[in-house]
Amino acid sequence: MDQGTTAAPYLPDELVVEILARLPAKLLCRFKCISRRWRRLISDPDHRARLAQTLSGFFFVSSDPGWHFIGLPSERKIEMLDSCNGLLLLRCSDEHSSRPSPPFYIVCNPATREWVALPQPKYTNGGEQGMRVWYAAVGFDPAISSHFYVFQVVEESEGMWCSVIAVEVYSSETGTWDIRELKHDYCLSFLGRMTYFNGFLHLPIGYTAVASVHTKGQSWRLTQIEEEERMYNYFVDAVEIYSSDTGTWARKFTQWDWDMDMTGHKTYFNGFLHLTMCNPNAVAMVDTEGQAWRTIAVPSNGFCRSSGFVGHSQGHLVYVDVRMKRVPALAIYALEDHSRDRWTLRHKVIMRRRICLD
Amino acid sequence: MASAGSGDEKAAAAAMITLISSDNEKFEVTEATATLSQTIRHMIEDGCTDGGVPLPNVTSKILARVIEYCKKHATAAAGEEGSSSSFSDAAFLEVDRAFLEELEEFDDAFLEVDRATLFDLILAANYLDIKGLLNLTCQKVADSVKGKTPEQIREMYNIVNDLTPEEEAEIRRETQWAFE
Repeated sequence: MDQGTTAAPYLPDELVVEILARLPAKLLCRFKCISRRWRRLISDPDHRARLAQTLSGFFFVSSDPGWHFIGLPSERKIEMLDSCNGLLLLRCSDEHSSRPSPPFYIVCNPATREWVALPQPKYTNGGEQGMRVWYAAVGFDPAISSHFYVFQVVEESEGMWCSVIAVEVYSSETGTWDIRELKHDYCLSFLGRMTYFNGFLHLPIGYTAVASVHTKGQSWRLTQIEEEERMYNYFVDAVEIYSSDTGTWARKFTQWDWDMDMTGHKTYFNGFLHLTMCNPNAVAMVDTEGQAWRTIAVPSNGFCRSSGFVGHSQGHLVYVDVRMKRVPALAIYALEDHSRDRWTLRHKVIMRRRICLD
Repeated sequence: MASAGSGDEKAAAAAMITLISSDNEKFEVTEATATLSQTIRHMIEDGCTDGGVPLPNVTSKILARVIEYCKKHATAAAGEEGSSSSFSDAAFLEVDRAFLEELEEFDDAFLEVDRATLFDLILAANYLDIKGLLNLTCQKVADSVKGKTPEQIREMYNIVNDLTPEEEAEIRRETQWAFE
């Protein structure tokens, strides 16, 4: 769009970006070699948040995924631990070898088939007595930075109890691990699920608190959930929202149309946290202010209405419906028109092999 | 076509606005049609539309097309408002569905223009701040480049490749996966 006789040369940068924003990541990469201007517009950090950064898709955890497709050594045992915005975190071990070395982490981008093996953190499994490192997560937000983080949860076992004592944070920027110790008088038992969001790793502790640690800086934030709120409520009663802008948590009592049970899947998209619910089957939404509360019924012609999960792809909220009986199948719906709550069936996939979903 | 009919009646009762193109042609439109443009809506709110609204960035040829779009979609908006109160009424939903299909057909036919006109429509939609039209036209361009090679796109839009052969080779090496 640099010279020529059509109207093309007249389109200012902002409008070319408007068009690029409607293209998938793969095409954007391909179109970088059209001209200097296209390369500049596609690579410009100012446009990153608007343009597709990752391929649309999601990852399955299969019992034997066979990692050779991304060029990883096939003789090793590889477990998938986590994924975040297109990157996968894997743990690689050579248990068949006569003198096994400690397992190590690999971060890979299946789209580019690039992978890196991380250096060993301070704590490894089977290293120090009474310590275990089972859980790890990857944090990556290409709209903010091209660097990724890996978090390893360090737990100390005391008899029956296991308590989180630290999180080790690897930064691809520095190439090193950094330890964040969490000192506390009582046992902090970790439930095994965590989420990376806006530079913080959040870990639910027991049924009583959420511990959050930032990728930079040493301090932990431990947020207690009040006594009467825990354990006994089987429907979602309130959502607590932390804002890094104000540095505080705010508890907002739900204003959805029904009392609902969470089924555990969630995604943050377009300023709203989306949660999958059952009784009734719906996607419930709340904004970061806790002001706007909405529910959208899941697609009514689905397989099994309570087993789906939510995500987002290419600027649309996506609902994936899973059928596990007989021939496993997936149906993928996109919410193309938010104002009408109308789901559009995008794909139906029949799985040839049995799969298990995380 | 009940919803379309009621829209027209509403429009007839509404105030008229005069839009003036860059080549000084005057177009009389209803306020409902004109206010699909946020730019014009703000002008009306500020009370500066007496004596017509000059649009120095839009030619009469393009303005005529933009007005055609706004008329159709203003009717659609009026139809939606009218039917939302009887949301559960199956007959109304049927009318809605038929009207939406008709609107999609209209949009498809509306986009059957040459590339220069399409780009002029994008510029006008941006200047007049008509979200629906900007979305429609940008999506059309995006769809037109899908499945094309970089060479085909350069040819389609008369883009001169000002990358050196070394630079282009490097980009292709870095993004090789995207060409598979």
